[in-house]
This record gives sequence, structure tokens and C-alpha cells, in this order.
Amino acid sequence: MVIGKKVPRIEGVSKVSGNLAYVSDIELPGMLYAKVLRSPFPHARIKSIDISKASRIPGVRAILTGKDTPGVPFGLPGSTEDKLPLCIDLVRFVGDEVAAVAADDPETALDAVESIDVEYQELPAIFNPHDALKPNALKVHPKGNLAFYKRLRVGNIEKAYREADLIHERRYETQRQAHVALETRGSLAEWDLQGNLTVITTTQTPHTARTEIARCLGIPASKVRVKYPPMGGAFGNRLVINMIDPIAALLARKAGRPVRLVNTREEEFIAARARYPFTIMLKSAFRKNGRFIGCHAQIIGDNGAYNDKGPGVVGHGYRILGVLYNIPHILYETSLVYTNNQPGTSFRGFGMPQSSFAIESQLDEVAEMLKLDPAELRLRNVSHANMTTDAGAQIYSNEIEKCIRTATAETKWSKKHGKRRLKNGWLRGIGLACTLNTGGGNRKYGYNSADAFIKMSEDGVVTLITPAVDLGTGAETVMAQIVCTVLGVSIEDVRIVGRDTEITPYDLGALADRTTFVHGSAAKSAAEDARSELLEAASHMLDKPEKELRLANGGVYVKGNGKRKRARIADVALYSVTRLGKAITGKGRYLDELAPKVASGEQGGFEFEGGGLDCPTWSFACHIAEVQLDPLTGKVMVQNYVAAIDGGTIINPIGALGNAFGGISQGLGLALMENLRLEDGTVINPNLGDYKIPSFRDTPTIGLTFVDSVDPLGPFGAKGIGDGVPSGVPGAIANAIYDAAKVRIKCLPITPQDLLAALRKKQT
Amino acid sequence: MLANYPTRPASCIEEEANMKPFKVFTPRSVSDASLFLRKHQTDARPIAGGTATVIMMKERILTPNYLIDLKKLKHLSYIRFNKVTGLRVGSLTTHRSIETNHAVAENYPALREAFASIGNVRIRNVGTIGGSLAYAEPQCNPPTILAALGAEVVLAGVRGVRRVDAHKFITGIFETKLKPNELITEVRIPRMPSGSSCKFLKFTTRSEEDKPSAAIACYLQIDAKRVCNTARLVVGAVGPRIYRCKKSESILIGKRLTDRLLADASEACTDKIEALDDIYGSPWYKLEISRVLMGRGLHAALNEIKES
Repeated sequence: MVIGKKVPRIEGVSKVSGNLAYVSDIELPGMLYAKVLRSPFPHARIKSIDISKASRIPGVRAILTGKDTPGVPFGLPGSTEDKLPLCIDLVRFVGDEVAAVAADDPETALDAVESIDVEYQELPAIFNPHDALKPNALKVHPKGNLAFYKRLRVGNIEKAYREADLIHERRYETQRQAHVALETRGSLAEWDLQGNLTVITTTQTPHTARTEIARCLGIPASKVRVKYPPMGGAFGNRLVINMIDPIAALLARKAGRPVRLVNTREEEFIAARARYPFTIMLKSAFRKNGRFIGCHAQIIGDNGAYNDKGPGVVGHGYRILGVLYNIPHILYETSLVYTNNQPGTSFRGFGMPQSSFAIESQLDEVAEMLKLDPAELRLRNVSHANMTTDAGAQIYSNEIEKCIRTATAETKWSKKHGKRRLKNGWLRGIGLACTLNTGGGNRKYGYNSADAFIKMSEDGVVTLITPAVDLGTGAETVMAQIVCTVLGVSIEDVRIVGRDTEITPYDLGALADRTTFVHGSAAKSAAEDARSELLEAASHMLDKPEKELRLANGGVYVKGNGKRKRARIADVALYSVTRLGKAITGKGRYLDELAPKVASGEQGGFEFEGGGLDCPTWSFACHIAEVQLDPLTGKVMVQNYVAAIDGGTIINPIGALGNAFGGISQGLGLALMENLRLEDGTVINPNLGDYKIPSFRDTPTIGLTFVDSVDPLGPFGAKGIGDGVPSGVPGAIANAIYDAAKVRIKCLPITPQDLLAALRKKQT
Repeated sequence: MLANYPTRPASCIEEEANMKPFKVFTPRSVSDASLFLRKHQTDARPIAGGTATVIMMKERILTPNYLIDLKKLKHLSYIRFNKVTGLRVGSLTTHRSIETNHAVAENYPALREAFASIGNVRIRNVGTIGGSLAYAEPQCNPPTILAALGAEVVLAGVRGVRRVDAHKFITGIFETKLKPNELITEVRIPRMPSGSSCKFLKFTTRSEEDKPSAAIACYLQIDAKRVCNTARLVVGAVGPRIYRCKKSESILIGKRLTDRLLADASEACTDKIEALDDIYGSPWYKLEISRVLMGRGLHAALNEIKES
């Protein structure tokens, strides 16, 4: 039994030895290297493109402009289409793709790209989403700047305001955060003579990528094969294809040779998309006893120049009000606005960190006004297991209360909060935030099931064929743990095969804490199927009834008959082949029957009011930050960080801890330092020297507890934890800073400069 | 577990290696390098640790046809300490060598502190004191601390050798007193007399490994009656160059040092400084922080002298 055991990554040695090939390491015979020419202007008309100089450079094999592309606008889902792989008439942000070159080496490709003469007519541009919403604002797209608008309603907010003892209204803002995956996005495309395309790419959603690439190229999806090596991080950035995928494919077709196109770190910052900045207005209604009875949230998201994942992201935070807290009256309005900034995309938490920062800040403001302890205020409003919230969310497992009690006990919360403390000139404070995440995928895509296959070789070695994508999260190790537990073999005898759409069954991908829950369930079911074949063969071989047999330690045991191994599983596998004439196999499925119904509106998801069935499970957490603050400089040091997480059964504590540490670190970056800064649409800090992420020296001691929790549907009771971890951090930090200095910063990141200015303002 | 993961080929082309082609010239001596520089002017670029040059070449900010590889001039890597004349550091000495040198730690703790907090250990293992000065980036630690210690920079060119005060060496962003054919050969730091102390402090607003928003170094020397004989106060990192705080120094020199006087001197230390508005902070904030750091530095320096 290796469930719950600290099993090292099965690909760990390959990674730490530098041996594992990422997309940028893969070379095919005759392969060319590509570079993209990107717009230097935030908004301009392309008057002409002259490639004559570039085409004369020796070693240049193919040059591509918008006119060489099918010109099919891209969007996912298709209804949001607005992006061309290469611009034809207009560029809409600094970094927009204009032309591309494939050459014998990357330097020649870059020389050629720099030699392409593009005549632009600069156009006025708009960068502020609030300005872009004004009636006479210039239009980024002909259909207008409001890319998406949604209004969700539960109960009657006006009733809440009438019944409230306290109404509190504030505005919060969040910034653009870059994903900074260690591996930048890359794509390697190759065509065969039958017109079949193979793309080796960095993706979280291989089967979706396959149809997206096919659509951009105007070919059937059956002509496209997507391979995906293990990735060096994704964090939501690779949910939607990048234009480098169709560009590499078109260059490869034109040159008749394989083409590799990999983002430089700078391109990753300027064009690979980032977290959507939000402006969040909250007007909340409370009873004297702390009961949160109503909230009107208005969210304005800066979409940037193209849609990508914006429509889904802006509405996601609704779940804090409708699932984490049980609020009877909610009005949630989201607007997604086109600007000439770099587009955003999904990012770990999927809009939750932005919304959580606002709501958790507001809860602390209200707690102070009501003279209630912030932890107590939350305990009075959180949802519970086995309930349907007023917003219609059906919750099965939920240990948020246990999370709050654990985290507050571990930090001695009640002894510290609200007690102004000064030590060696530093002010100390403690702050708390609660959070949740969707688990087990998302049903709004209309499909959320998954399949898995198992084959056992005649020597007893097990191969799992799974569509699970390993972004660097340890997903393949988790799959192997599940399979070896069911089959009683050692983990060394389990191999994972996948990473190729020609091999793996159709799938939605790695998103919304879906992998452990959905793929883990499918793998478990396939292993159980193989197990029944194995038991049947063993029964035949040992002449014992199946129900008396047990599989463990690579062998077959007879129940009630001591610890003696009666046969090795390898022997049974061989016996099945040679004596019964069949090899052991298994087929498994996680079936999510609700997904098509939720997507069609037949049964409710949040997008269709009064539902709450939009994902199979929920994970919860309580975060507590302890900070110290230098009142003369505004510097904040996070001293201690504690998170108590309800992620169901933890299959692999190493993986879970790693995900949680990384997520908290990413959240600290969001809270305190990370900010992709655009000036007139141009990123002014597109490198790791000027864009700072937390280093080891910035990371406090982090104490993590996974509270006891068993999900009734997940494999061995697991839910998944990776996606939601950063969400709680900005709120906890902002609240700790307030506790230390009694100033509230409502704009992320919380910089020492803003903090010092606020402290000065408070003194005067 | 059999090999089931894609394997990296033995050699692969780096996508980020976008440098223009160049040739490497390996001089046998400083004059060899100077003559080559005179011949090729800006077409040639000396390289020591390469921590700044290589990045600029990858970004194609620098596209020299020749690199002059100074690393072979091993005789320019040394640290020599003499109780009377002070410290002499060869220009190709790495930051890490200075950080870990006993004579430096014992006699110039602030110099050690400044070099120990440059970038990260990977940078310090290859970056050199001469390279850092020639790069002339006011956010780097060496110019600020060396100016406060009263150091001189020794330059050698085709016309011979000359010396420049460290605080005058950097003239603007990426601009120095170096003539096109000159190289830095040595940094000379005078001895620390009794009754003296120097402090270096820097402040980062984002990551601990970020470039500083402000950095200060202050040197004080007082006599037995606590009257200040020498004060060298320097503000770095905030503007296009480093600044000597002459007004603050004049507040301190010739006076018996009190808390009040130190406060006045720190308050005046940003006089006539033009701070840049950038991702590290607004001019208001950078100058505010400089004054806080200077106050802390001066107090620490004076306390150290009192305790010794």
C-alpha cells in the first residue's frame, strides 16, 4: 500500500540529472529553428510587409506572413474567436505576431526576422479598461470593447441591504502576474508526406490543442497528432494553445522540414499572456452577529487585446460567495474589457486569487467594525459537508471548519491577533484568509470523464495508458501509486504511457484540480478491471476460489493462510498467457454523466443560476500569515506561514507538499512583489532581473497541514490540491499587514513604497 | 522502472543564444589588450567574468566583433594587504575571493559585506571587481562602498597608468572615466586608521535578490575626543551615478558627533541627488529610504568606533 506514502517522483532522476528532454531539447533530423516577428506598437495598421531582404539571407528556409495563413480567427470556445495566428491588417498589442522565419539556426532566424520591413500606420490605443468602457472609447475590436458580461444572481440583494445592520463598500485592485514556468512555451512541428501533422508541444490540454491547431490550419483534427513531453511547469498558462503552434506548423509545411519554435524568456513575458488584472467593487451586507447576508460584487477584468480564457476567469470568484461562504443574497457582475494590453490567460486559481484578496480583505474590515474576531466571523459563515448552499452548490465533503481551527491553533492566533506588537523596531501582525477551489475538473466543457487502459506483460510488469498530463506536478507518480496499490505490484513495476494523442483516449486535460480525481479514478477502475482478470487466472492456477485470494507485494496470498506467498504475480501473468491463452488487460473509466447536462443547461451549473453542479468536488483551505513590518521603510517580511488544507486523502505527501509550497510561494509573489508592468502597452520588465519572483531568501518557514478528509467520490478519497493554493495568500498577507500597522492596502502587489505612503498619510 | 522518459541529446542548440558571431582575442598582457583596443575601438569589448556583457550580447545591446578575454591575465587576480599602505585588489579578482578573504574580513568588514551581498553566489564566483566598476551600474555594490572607503581605481592604457578617485570614476549610467584604450588594473583602498569605521547598507523592495532601490556607505573617523576628522558618505543605486554627500560630510567634519548631528547629516544626505523613477521606486521613496539607511549606517559606524 503506497497510498499516503512519500513516494519519490518516478521521473525524478531524469529531471535532476538534466537528462529529461523538454520540447526545447528535442531535435529531429533536418530540423529548422524559427523566430517570430512581433508588433512593436500597441495598435497599428499593417500597410506593407517587405520580406525581400530577409529572404536573401543564407540559411533562411521559409518566411511566413499573415497572407500565407488560412486567416481563421482563433478562440476557445469558438464563440470567443478574435485572434489570428499572424496578423493581417491590424496589430492590437505590443508582441502581436506579424511574421515568422524558419532557418538553419536560431541566430539566422533572428537576423532574418530583424530584416523584415513592416510599414505600420500607428493608431491611437487604449490601455485602461475603465476608459475602454466609456461610450466614445476607441474600439479594439469592431464589436466593441465589452468582450464578455455576465450577471449572476442569488436571492435579492436589495432585501439583504434592507435587513442589514452593516453595509460596507470598498474597491480593490490586482495586477498582472506572469506564470514564469521554468520551461518556456515551445512547439515542434513535422508533416509527413500524407499531410499528417505531428506537433510536439507544451500543453495542459493535448486533445483540445489538437482540435484547436487543426482549426487554425483548416485541416481535420484527425490529421493532427499532439505529443507532449513532461513539462517544466504550466500553472494554467498552457490551457489554450499559443499561436506558436500553428505558426510552427505552417512554417514546417512551407519549408518541408520539421520546425522548432520556442519562446525566449522575454517573449514569455511580453506575449505568452499573464494573470488578468481585476478591479473589484464589493458592497456587502452583514447582521450584527456577523452573518454575511448579501454581497454585490462588480468585477472589471482587463482582457487585453484578445479573449483567451478571460470569460471563464472573471466569473470564477463567485464560488467564494456561493460555495465557501453560504450567502443568501448575491449579485455578481463581471465585465471583461478589451484593451491594447497583452492578453491574459488562465493562471493557477483561475481568478480566485484576485477575488479572494478582495473578499478576504473586506471580511477583515467588517470583523473590525463588528468587533468580531476574523476567524470567528468566517466560522459563522462557512459552508459545511453534505449541504446545498443558498447558491445551489451541492457539497459532499467539506472540512473548512477543521482547517480554520487547525491553522488558528497552530499559530496561537487568539494570543496574537489584534494585539499590537513591536519588536526591535518592527511591527508584528497576523492575518487569515479562507479559500476554496473547484475539484475534479469542470463540467461546463460538456465532457469531464476520462478513460485509462492497463496491460500486463507476461513478466508481470504493468503499463498504464492514461491521458493524465504531468505539468511538473507529479501526476504520473500518483497514477503509478494508484495502479500498484490496486494490483499489489511494486511501483517499480508500473510504467506510464501517454503523452501522445494517438495513444491516449480523448480527454479534457489537466485543469481545475482534475488529474488526481478524474484520471486517478479512471486508472483505479482500469486497475480493478485488470485485477479481476488476474484473480481469475490465479484462481485457476492455484485451484482456490477468487474470493479467497489477495494480491500484495508482487504476489498472490490465500486469505487466512498465513503470510506465505503462493505465487508471484509475474507467474500468474505468464500462466494466463500460456495456459489460458489471454494476456491480462484492464479498461477503466471515470464517468461524469452530469457534464453534458450541466453544459447544456439541463442541470444547473453556476453559469446557469441556481445550479452548483459545475464540478464534482471542492477543496478548501485556511491560510495564516505572520508578518513583520519596518515602519520607517514599509518593508514587509513574512515570518511564518501556515496553511491547513482540505484536499481529501493525500495520495503522495511529497507531491502535495511540493505543490503547496510552490503555490504559497507563487501567492507571496502575487501579494508582495510580482507585477508585469506595462507602459503604453509595452512590458518594461520582461526578464527575471526586472520581474522578481520570490527566491528562497524571500520564503518564510511554511507549515502545512492536510486535515483529515475523505472525498466520497475521489480515488481513495482524494480531491487534488495544486490549483487553489495561491488563492488564499494575498488576503492573508494584506490582513496581517493591517494587524501590524493598521493600514489597509487595497491594491496588489503591496509594495513597501505604497505601505510607507499609507503609514505617512495615517500619521498626518 | 525502465527508461520511459524522453532523453536529452548530448548537445543541443540554445534557443536563447541569440548572439551575433564574434571572435575572441586573448591578450598576453595589459598593453597587448590596450593596443588591440586602440586598433579596434568599440568593435572590441573586454570581457572578464561576463556576468553583464554576455547578457547584453544575448539581448543584442552589445554586438562586438571581438571579445578581449581578460581571464588569461591571471596576474591581475590578487588581494594584497599591508598595514601601512592598505589593500590592493587586482581588477580580475572575483567578488567571491574578496568576500572570503581573511585580510578583508578583518580589516574592511564593510567591504566584505558589500561584496558578499552582490547578486548570488553564482554571480560572485565569476564576476570581478574591475568588471563591476567598468560596467558602471550604480545599483551594483562596489562603486558605493569603494567611494566611501576612499579607494582609487588604477587605469592602464597605451599612454601609461593613471589613478582616479572611486567616487569620480562613474560619470553617468554605464559611463566612466575609462578612455577607449584603457583597462582597470587595480583598486587601492587606504588603511582604516584607529577610530574609524565604515558601513554599507542596501535596501531591496521586492525580492531579497533584487537590485537595490537605495544603497549607502558611510565612513567615519574620529579622534579621542570624538571629533570627526574624516567623513565620506555615499548614496548609490538611486540615480544615474553614485553621490558623495558633501553637505552631510560638512555637517560632521570638525564636530563632536552626537545623535542630533548624525540625524542632521542623514537628513541632508540626499541633497542635490537626482533619483530615477523606475521599477525600484519613485524618487520620493528612494530618497526617503536613503536617509533612513544613512541614519542607521552612521549610528552603527559610531557605535562600532565607541565599542572598539
